[in-house]
This record gives sequence, C-alpha cells and structure tokens, in this order.
Amino acid sequence: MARAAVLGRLTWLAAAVTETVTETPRVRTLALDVPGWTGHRAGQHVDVRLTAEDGYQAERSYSIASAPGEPLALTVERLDDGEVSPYLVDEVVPGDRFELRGPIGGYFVWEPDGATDPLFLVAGGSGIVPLMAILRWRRAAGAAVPAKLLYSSRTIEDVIYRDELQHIGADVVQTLTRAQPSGWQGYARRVDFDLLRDVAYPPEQNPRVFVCGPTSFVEAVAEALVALGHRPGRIRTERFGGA
Amino acid sequence: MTYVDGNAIGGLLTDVFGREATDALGRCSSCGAENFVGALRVYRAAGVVVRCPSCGAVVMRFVEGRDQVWVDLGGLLGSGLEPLGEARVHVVHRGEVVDGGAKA
Repeated sequence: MARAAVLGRLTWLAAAVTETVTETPRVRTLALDVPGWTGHRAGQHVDVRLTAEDGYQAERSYSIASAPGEPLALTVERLDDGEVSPYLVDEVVPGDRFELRGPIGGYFVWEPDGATDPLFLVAGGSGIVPLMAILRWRRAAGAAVPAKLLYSSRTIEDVIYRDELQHIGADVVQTLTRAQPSGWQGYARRVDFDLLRDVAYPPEQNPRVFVCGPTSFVEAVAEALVALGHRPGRIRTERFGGA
Repeated sequence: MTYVDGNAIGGLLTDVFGREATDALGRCSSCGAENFVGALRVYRAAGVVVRCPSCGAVVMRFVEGRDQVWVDLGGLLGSGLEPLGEARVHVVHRGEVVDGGAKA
C-alpha cells in the first residue's frame, strides 16, 4: 500500500454492493462498501472491472454519485448493447462483489473552497450523476455559492434523482425533450443558444460551468455558452460518447 | 466517430504516469494550443488516440496489451508528464520503441 501511494498507481479494490436504488427504468444506484477506499472529490469517477468465469475482463468508467464523505455510490445507466452496465443495472444484488479502482480525475471536479462565483451545471441524461455529486457536496459543505442546474431528459420517467432534486438547495431548471406530462411547467425543447441565454448566469457574473452528457449534447452546450460570451476556460466538460 | 474527454482515460493515464494526469496542462506540438489533458479528445478503437481539441492533431497514443502498454507522447509538449519507468510501459516515438521501461 505504501508503495502504491508513492507511485500513485491505482489499485483494484473489491467492492461489495450494500444497497440498490432504482432511479428510473434504465438507471440504478449502487451503494458500495469498498475496504481500502481513500475518499473522493465531487465530480470524479471510478473504473469498474468485471471478470467472467473464463477470465474475460470488461472495464468501464462510472461517475461517483455520492458526495465526499458519504459512502461510495455509483449511478449507472443501462446501455442495451453494453458489456457491463446491463449487469450492474439489472442483475447485481446486495452482497455481490466486483472490482473497482479510483478515484479518478482532477479536471472535472469542484471544491467549495470559499469560491463566490456562481455554479452553473448543465446535464444531459445520465450526465446528471457527477453534477449531483457536486450539488450534494455543496449542500453537505454548507457552501453559500449560488448554484443552478439545467437538466435535460427525454421524458419525466427518465429524470434521475427526481425527488431529491426538489430539495437539493439549488435552482433546478428542467427540460423534457421528447414528451411532457400534462401541466408540465418546465421547458419542452432541446438545450440550445436561446434556452441557455434564458437560463444561464450571465457571463458578467463569471460563473463556473460544468457540462456533462452525451458528446453531441456537450458539444452543442459548450459552443452555445461560448457564443453567449462565456470564457472557454470557465467551462469544464465531460463527454461520455453515445448518442 | 464520436469521442470523449481526456478525463475518461484518467485511469489509464494514472497507470502510465503514476499520478493524476487530467489536470496537467500540455501544449500541442502542431498548433501550440495549451489544454488540460482532461479536455483533450479521446478516440477509442484498437488503441486510444488522443487529439488536440483546437486543431485535431494526434498528441498522444496508447496501445494496451494484456500486461503492457505502449505510449507515444510525440505530439504533447511541456506537460511535465513522464511515463513510469516500469517494464510494462514502453515509450514509442515515430514508430520505434525508444524506452522499453529501462529507465531507473
């Protein structure tokens, strides 16, 4: 362990599932007990490794959903042609074990550290996960910095953390791009230049911006924010590929 | 072909460099743009190709074998990132292995 610390190498750790929470029909949160886990920062991820009986290994990255100081939790969306996510979303039960290593990432992270610039978070689909870790950390740390979340989902059933978002202590703006329930008060279109102009803190307030979602979503949001006058250096992105 | 951010290969980078690398700043040898490693564009196929988000030039390449990884950092300048001197890490430049992990 001392050697690993000196070299900074990541060691594979055994994680045991302690609890599962179904967030949406496609998304589940796994609370984990990981002996040797050293803690994490809000926005980081882990690599998960599954090993089949024949020795075949598959490895994927998943964002950490829990705030620093809370038990480690991952929120995973099922990709139907995936090798790892269908197992994590549909099959894993408390007591099951798999390997993970981390925490990983020093770029897409947020610390309260007395900052006063407002925090603007933009999530597409399961891109909400690392941003939720940031919002949970902000709440837990009692940070006074204003925060606003713009969250795009396809339908109301696809909204992850639907109940908790109502009392996360931030300004939450939602858009549903595919279908809206009757009486829906939020937006009903894709996140674009006009919507961001309405919702984002103005560039003069120098917000720190974190954007996470599918590559095409992040691309569109980042370009529109720059067109609105936000400095590229203030915008941190995490693209997870996909649609 | 779609891509992800350098952040996504943070685990691989920590394996190769022995430290968190996504918050390191590096300069593209083609266009000179300076970007965080976490903001570089990552394309995955048989190997991992990392491109400059400003000009698209290849700045790093990684090929992972079962217990070894080949690393080409030829397009990235000034990042301060040095591959670990381990037998499993092979540094490649212009197609030739220049360091088979023999470093102290």
